[in-house]
Amino acid sequence: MVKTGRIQIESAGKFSTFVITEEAKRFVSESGLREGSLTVFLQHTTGSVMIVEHEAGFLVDLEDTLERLVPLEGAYRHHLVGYDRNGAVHVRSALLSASVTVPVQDGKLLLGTYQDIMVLDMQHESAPRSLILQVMGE
Amino acid sequence: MSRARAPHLVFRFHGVVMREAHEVPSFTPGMEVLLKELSGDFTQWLFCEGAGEDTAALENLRLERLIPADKWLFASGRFRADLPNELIKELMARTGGRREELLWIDDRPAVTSSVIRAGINAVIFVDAFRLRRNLVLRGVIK
Repeated sequence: MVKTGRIQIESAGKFSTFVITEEAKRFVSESGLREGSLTVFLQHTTGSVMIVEHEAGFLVDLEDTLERLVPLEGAYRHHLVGYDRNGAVHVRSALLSASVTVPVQDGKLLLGTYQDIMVLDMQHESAPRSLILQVMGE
Repeated sequence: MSRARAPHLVFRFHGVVMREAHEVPSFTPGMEVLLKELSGDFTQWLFCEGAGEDTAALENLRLERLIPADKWLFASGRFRADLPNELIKELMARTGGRREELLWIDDRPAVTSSVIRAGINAVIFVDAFRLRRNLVLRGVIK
């Protein structure tokens, strides 16, 4: 079986994070999937989906590390397009991942105790963000 | 390894203690029990935004049973989008300025990040179960 769903997130952008673990669990439960996997996919090039320990200090560390690696105020060729000033955000997004896959057994996501599915949105402006959830299996 | 105690726990009202956007004020599941559990050993501070609306909700929840009214702090609506500097200043004044003794509990990651950058420990609130687990891991409660 394959079932696909969508979540829309109202994001304030900049460095907004959203834990969607409960939504993902609910989607798997309602899909009827017993054995297989769930894929969560972000339909944007200015953010990421990741498995993390959703802890306040970690989020500061992640933001600081990304700033060291890809400074927001750097000179980016992407800005030559003339309509965008978010070159750093695109590079950060490319270094991260747009999707995660989590195994499902007995109808439950096999996440570890401290693992959460987190969406990171780094776009400068607030905007709705679309996520695709898809289960595959039986 | 010894763990630092956090005698001052700072809770955000909406989202942590009370459900968001709920017509009838009610506790976030599990939080009343946790606040009671904590009330014996720790000073609990509650901060609120939009004072009028929150005051009515506070009365309905009878929160003074768990957090004395003189431990409630009100912040302006600007706080929703801004760093909580004014609130931190007031907390520092009331608690003697020991940032390491504060643990700020908030459901907004952007706020916990600001708070951590201000030198105060913070926990992102998701639900009472996870908050309790976090407090146990930190050695705040057994």
